[in-house]
Amino acid sequence: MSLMRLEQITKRFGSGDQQTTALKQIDLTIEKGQFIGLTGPSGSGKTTLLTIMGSLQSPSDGQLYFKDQEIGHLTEKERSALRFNDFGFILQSSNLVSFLTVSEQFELVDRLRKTASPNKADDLLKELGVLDQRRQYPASLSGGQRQRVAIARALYGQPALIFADEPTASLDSKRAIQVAEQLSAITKKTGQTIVMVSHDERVLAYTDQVYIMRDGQLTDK
Amino acid sequence: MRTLYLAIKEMKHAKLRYSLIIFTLFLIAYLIYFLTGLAYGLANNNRSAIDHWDANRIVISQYANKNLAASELQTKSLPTIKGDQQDHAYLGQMMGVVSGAQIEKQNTSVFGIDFDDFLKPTLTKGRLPKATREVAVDDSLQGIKLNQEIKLNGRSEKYKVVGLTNDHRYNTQPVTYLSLKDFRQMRYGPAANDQINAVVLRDGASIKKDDQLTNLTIKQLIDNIPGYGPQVKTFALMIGALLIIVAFIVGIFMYIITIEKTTVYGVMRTQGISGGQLVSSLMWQSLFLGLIGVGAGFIGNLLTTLVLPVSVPYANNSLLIGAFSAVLLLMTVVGALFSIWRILKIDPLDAIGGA
Repeated sequence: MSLMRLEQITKRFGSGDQQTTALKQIDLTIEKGQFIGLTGPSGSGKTTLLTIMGSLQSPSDGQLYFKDQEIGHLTEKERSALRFNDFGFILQSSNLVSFLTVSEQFELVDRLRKTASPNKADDLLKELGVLDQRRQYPASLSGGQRQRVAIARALYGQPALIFADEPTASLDSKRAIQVAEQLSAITKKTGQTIVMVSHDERVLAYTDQVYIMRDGQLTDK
Repeated sequence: MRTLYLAIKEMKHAKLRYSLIIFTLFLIAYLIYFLTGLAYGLANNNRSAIDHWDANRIVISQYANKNLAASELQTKSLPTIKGDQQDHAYLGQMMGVVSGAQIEKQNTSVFGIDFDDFLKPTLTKGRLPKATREVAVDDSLQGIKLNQEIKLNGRSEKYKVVGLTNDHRYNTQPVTYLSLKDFRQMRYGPAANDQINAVVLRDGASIKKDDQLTNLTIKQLIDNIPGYGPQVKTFALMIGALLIIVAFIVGIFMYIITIEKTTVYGVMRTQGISGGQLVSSLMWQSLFLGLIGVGAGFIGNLLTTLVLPVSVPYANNSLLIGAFSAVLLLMTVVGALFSIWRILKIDPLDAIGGA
């Protein structure tokens, strides 16, 4: 059983003469524990594909399966529940809640779930080198610290699939490589799956497989 | 309850912003309580003497236009009054001026009654008048004391104060009670022996219909006290307007805050926190803001009561305060409802810069 399967996924925006097709009949299978890279020129549809896989928007056509369940046309409430329970997100800009301290970002998840996560927030923060910042608000962290906290937050709750959109864009080269190494290590250690959009060849080198998006179509590298 | 955490954390993080809303709510709640106290105090000053009767109806002359002071009846000409003797009482009423050696001229509402009837006032000091030219007076009449001699309407006769009442006012003036006989003599002269203003009826008593008489409920009588209706309506309008303003203020504040938080809401929606949970957090925040603001307004009102001069017609009524507190809280929540559609409209894609 594959973790996620895309069959003929198409995404169109607008209507009539203004209609554009961002994704054209994409087929893709993602297995458990893979670290997948997505690259391609700007406007090629990478982020659109990532957001459809992450259930942030629905495809216009085609089927999207997660653990063999069709998830392409769920209600907004069902999609929220899926994102909360099974997916993690690492965004280009920080995906942290600005009015919560680093520790509280994790506490919020526990409170909304009513149960403590199998992961220990402090262990994750320690592993990512930001434990000392646990009482700080996101605004007082450096870009690199924020991104590492965001990674810890995405991993917390052990989601099956983590979507990362340019997670190293705001980091210097050294930090970018460090983050890529950490993401790669996570997939090996926990068996979690990561789909990462990136332009950075050095970062993509850490992935198991890279796909290139061009004009809404997906090709193997 | 799960979103309570989110609501509290956000409020603690943006203390100044939420303090400003609370302060605004405090000011409005305080104003509402203060106006309510004034309205109730003023209304009470118009009617408290009547409220003490514990009666159901009053019969006055038809031409008096529901105005007790303008009514004149003769007991001998009245139709038969049905029911127990103890359930009806004759009442004389006029506006007057009290003066005396140790007190300055003050307005009073003079009630002529039979001190054996149910209209007799409850005294806080002294005794009920028994003899001619003895009176019981409300203690809100400035400078009044037991055994003092007063004059009414500048007449030469002196009346001895033998009893004091508390909170017996009619048409905002303290009431002076004297016997019907003394009342008639003062108002109509020595020959008068059956003039009255009204017949007050309790349960079981009724009077035969007559073209010359108007049968009013006590509420109708109170509503027709000169100035009472417009006064009550003016305050009610002001308080009602303030309650609506509360909803708008909370609504505008929360809407602006919601717009400012679009990105962070987008982030939370991306993380899978549902629109319903964000709305629930907003509702908790509104309720907290309301509880703190309204609570502070209530405490402020209590403190004001302690320092207000006695001459200010101010009285707190727990039922009214409870009702307005509930409406205020409801309005703060209603105000927050304006932002619900905005939250539900937030697209998680906004958090990642669109796709």
